[in-house]
Amino acid sequence: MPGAYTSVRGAALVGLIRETRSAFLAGPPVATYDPELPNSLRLVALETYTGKDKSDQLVIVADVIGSDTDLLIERTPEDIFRHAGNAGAFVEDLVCEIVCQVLSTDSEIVAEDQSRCRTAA
Amino acid sequence: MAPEYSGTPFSDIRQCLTALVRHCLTPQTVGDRGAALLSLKIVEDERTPPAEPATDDQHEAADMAAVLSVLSKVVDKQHIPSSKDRRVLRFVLPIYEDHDGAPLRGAPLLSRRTIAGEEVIDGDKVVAPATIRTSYEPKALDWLGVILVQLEAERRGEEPPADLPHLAP
Repeated sequence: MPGAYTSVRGAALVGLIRETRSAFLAGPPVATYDPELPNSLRLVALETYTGKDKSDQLVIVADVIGSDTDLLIERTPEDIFRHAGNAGAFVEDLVCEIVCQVLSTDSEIVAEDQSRCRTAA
Repeated sequence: MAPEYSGTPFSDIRQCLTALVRHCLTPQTVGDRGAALLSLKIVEDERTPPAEPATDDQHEAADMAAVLSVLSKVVDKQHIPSSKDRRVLRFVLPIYEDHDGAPLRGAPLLSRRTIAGEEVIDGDKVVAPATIRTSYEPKALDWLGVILVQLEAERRGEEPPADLPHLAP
């Protein structure tokens, strides 16, 4: 069942995953502010997470480092943190990587994400 | 046929640009992290050496002036066709000294990205600083690096390297 995410622990982290999924599927194929920018899963995840108050972001990070320390990260650090240069950016990219990795098990999401990125390329 | 490019490689220039963005373009960071740019003939030709004996600060100021002069000329419509790329570079590197009376030079990276996010799109649409970082900045810096290598090759009378990234406007 989409949205169950039983492999992920932590209510705030699961909440972010669900929120990202809903925002992604409800959103247009390109960013509302820039028709040249695909509204990709990664972009939606990043903007959903960074759009939250710092206190809400901290609860999510607490889930990552507290509740879900065993969650494996599949991509390489070079890929995940390519554009990160400071601590805040590394944390943002790690959280969004987890969100995207979990949602990449959802075939509907993957197909839509690939379509959006392909159209913009 | 012109000889092969013998100047500073694109990858070194690109890494240097990333470092300057992260640490902010200032005389000190150009001195500490700008070697790849300072090694370019197009920068060297722009440099006015300070009167000797000169202090380290005066040499750094001369280096900074040369780098800023080149970057200011390159970040224009002729070389970088996308206005979004140009705006990101002007506010994030930064090329501009200030924005609405607040200094950009020496400002924290998040502040520069926040301002770029306010300015990158016409009208009142605002782009999140994290989106500037991951979606706009890499492309803008790639463009800048490619143009710098192409201009350097031209100045040296050499062919630009064949393996430069191909970028769409």
